[in-house]
Amino acid sequence: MLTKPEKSTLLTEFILDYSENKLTDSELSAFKELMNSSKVVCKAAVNGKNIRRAMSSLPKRKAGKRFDQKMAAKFAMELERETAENNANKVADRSIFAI
Amino acid sequence: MKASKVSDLRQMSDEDVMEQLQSGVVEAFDIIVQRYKDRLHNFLYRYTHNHEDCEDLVQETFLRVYRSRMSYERIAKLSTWMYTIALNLAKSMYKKKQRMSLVSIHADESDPDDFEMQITDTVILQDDELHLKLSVQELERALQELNEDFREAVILRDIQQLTYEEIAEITDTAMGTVKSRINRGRQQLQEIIGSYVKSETI
Repeated sequence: MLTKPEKSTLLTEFILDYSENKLTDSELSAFKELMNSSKVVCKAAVNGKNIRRAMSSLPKRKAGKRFDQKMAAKFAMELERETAENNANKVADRSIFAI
Repeated sequence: MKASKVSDLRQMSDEDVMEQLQSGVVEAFDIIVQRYKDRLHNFLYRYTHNHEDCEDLVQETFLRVYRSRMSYERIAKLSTWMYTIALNLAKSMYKKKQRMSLVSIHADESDPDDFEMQITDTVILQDDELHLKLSVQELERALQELNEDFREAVILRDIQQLTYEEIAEITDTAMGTVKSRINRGRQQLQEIIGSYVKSETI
């Protein structure tokens, strides 16, 4: 006998797998029976599948043509900053030893 | 010599490339950028809805990856680690923007028409009706209205196509919670979109 949270988790997994077409044939036929007997489950499953499909078909957004150029410039500045910081640390270390 | 080093790097796994970067091979950074710039752009665009802001965020993500390269450990996939950094940046930017828009939206308190609209409708759409009505803009808008936890789970799963395990690691939540958020997020998205369709038909 399953507890209420266990049932809910199991149902969520079924709805997710149904939405992503991951149920095996036997699981699918059992789940379709459940969908026929419960409007709530049916709505949740259909909603999940619709949204999953719609979200997956959203157009892919890509970085612009000048992205590489801008990134290279920022990275060069970062390397410069890092070198300056390392040099400053070395100078500080030397002065500590000198004392 | 340098060319062969770059072509060697191109053959390596993400984690091996990162190891090279940790050992001081600066060229490895460019390989990581080339592999992830579009993926991160596609992910972060859902938070910025603006290409310029998105590019800034992607660049900042890469710079943070470089700065904190020594803290990366191979126990995690590089992609998971990078998405975690990107998500944290997106969240803090989103909060900042929300604070700014709250100030501007409620600037005129004397305006009687200036109130928040409550969405109480929960119309469920049939398959074909949804395809007729659902546009990219509506989906993007609905995504923005979604609760933050649900939105990140749905984006990572349905747009970035990551596994539940990866999402759990990125969002630092249990796998059961991830699954529940994805399911509830999709249901909530359908409700929001249903309310758009209802308001159009009235």
